[in-house]
Amino acid sequence: MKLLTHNLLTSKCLKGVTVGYPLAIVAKEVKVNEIDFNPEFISRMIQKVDWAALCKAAENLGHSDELPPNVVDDYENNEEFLKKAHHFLMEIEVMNGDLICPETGRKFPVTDGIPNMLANEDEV
Amino acid sequence: MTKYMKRKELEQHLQELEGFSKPKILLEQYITSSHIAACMLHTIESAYGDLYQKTVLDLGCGGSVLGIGSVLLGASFVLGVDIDEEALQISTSNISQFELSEINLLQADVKLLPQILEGTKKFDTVIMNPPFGTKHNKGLDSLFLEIGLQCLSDKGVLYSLHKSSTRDYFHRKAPGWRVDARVLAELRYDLPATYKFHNKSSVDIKRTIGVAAEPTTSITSDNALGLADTSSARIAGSLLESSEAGISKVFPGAKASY
Repeated sequence: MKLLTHNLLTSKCLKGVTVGYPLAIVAKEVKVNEIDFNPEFISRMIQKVDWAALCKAAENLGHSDELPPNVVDDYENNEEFLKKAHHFLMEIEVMNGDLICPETGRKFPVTDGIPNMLANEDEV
Repeated sequence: MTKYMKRKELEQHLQELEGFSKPKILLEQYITSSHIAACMLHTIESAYGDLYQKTVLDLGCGGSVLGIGSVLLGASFVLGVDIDEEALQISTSNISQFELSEINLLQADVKLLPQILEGTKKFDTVIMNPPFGTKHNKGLDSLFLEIGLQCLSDKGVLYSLHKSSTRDYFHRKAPGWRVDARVLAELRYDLPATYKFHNKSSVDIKRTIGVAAEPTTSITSDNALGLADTSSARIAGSLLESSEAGISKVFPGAKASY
């Protein structure tokens, strides 16, 4: 699970959860895949992602303060920033661990890189 | 746009992928043939440029034939969603065979996906080969489409394969969904005898690639037909007239619903 994927997920499917975002990550295994850097694509993604949630995810994985707390001005022309965003969004993969609903504490396991967001009938 | 892979080459790559060893009838699992997938994806990229550098959602991904093909044609990020663990295992092995890092998988019930992905800016392109929605799974094809539309960004485009007999239904539905629905091609879908109680060795079912783009206007049948003609010409070879095989015959034993 890339942090880009994590950035999309909420636990709002659970009964009674109002925001369910962002899900906390407790990672047991993380790997890094090298992916070609595409500044155009990353610039477009930066407009779409929730930056604060990405920073939180990075922090959960032990990378505190490696990302600036806000998207920098003129990021399209800031290669260093874009490369960092690329690394965190695309290259880091959580292989095993749990995603945790911020409101209920319900755990969603990540196994072999695949988050399992299935919920029982009585939970939704 | 970059130079994309030729259709034949794409099809050869996709032929190497693994299908379902034990397909589940309730999920109407069947593999998207490499030929159909290659025709569909090649058309999406060559005629509309909707894969290269795009984010793609593969809904009900199964073995990820469409998702893998999308990456081979230049998609920057693909999320494949399926409810079934075995399907996802097959996907994982297919993805690792190609050593692709641009695909992520998610295990989720498609019905809950709008909540799971709520608030996000959504996908540029949604692709799917949804369950047929046979009489025991009635409406599932329509539900997949509705959910796919909810996962699209404002200017996003959805491509889906449907039984040709449902074409009028979707044309009637499209204005209410605020989309412009077009028929892009007619393909003869060669569904191999995936389920053991098939009484024929193979059944051909006409499937239609449809496209829906937001936001929209109403459609006219002239438009739709015109487009079907041009697009079909682009994928000549797969366009065969066929009689409509009764889909109900394909799953005579299915009882429970999805």
